[in-house]
Amino acid sequence: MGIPIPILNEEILCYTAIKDKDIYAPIVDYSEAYPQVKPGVLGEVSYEKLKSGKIVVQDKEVPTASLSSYSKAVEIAEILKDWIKQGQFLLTEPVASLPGPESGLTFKLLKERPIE
Amino acid sequence: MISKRIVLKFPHRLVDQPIVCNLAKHFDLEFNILKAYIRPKEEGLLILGLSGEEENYNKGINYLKKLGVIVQSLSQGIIRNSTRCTHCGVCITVCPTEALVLDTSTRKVHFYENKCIACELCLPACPLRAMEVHY
Repeated sequence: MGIPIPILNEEILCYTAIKDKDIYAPIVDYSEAYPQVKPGVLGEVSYEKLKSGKIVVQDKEVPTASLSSYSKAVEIAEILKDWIKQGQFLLTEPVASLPGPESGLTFKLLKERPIE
Repeated sequence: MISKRIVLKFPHRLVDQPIVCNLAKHFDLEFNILKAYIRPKEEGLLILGLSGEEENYNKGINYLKKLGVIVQSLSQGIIRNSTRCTHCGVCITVCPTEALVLDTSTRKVHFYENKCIACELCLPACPLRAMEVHY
C-alpha cells in the first residue's frame, strides 16, 4: 500500500527528511523479556546499522535482515508518484476519521496461559 | 577437480547396500552427507556433496545410475519461486551458508544455488512460501 505524505510546511519537510542514521530502534529480547513483559532493552541501534546486515549486541556480531520488502516499497512509491504526476490521484473528503487518543482504545497485552 | 552437490534416490531394494562407501573406496571420491532419509523398505534419499577428479566423478555417477539410483543435481532441488518472492529479506538470517543474501544497493534478495546445502530452514521462514523443494 502506498501513502502520499503532503509536505505542507517546513516542519513536515524537516521531519520527513530524517536520515537512516538518525532513526533509532530498540533491541528487544524476544526469548524472555518480551513475552514476560519484563522491562529493559539490549540497546538501541540506528536503521543505517540495521540495513548494513550486521550489528553488535553485547560484544557479539549479529546478522540483521528486514521483515518487509524495501525494494517493493520503492516500486509502489514510484507507481504512486507517477499517478500523482499524471493527475490520476485525486484528493477527496474523508469518509470518517480514524480513532484518536480520545476514543479510549488501548493496547492489550497478551497474557500467556500456563501449559497444563 | 570437481565438486558437486547431488540428490540421490535409492529404490528400496538398495537401501541396505554400502553404495556410498563404494564411491569412496572404488572411485576415490570424497563425500559429505548433507541430508539422509533412510528407512527400511522405503525409497531412500541422500543429499551428498561429492568431489574428486572429473574422470572418477563421472565413473562414480555411472556406477550409481547402473545400480538404479536416481541422480539429480541439487541446484534443481531447492528453488525460489520468483513470482512469489517479494524480496522481504526474512530468509537471509536463517540461511546458514549465505546462499540467500541481500544486495545492499538494490535491497533485493539473491539466491546462490551453488551454496545451498538443502537444510530447508528457509522453507518455513518465508512468509510467502516462495522457497520450494523439488526432490
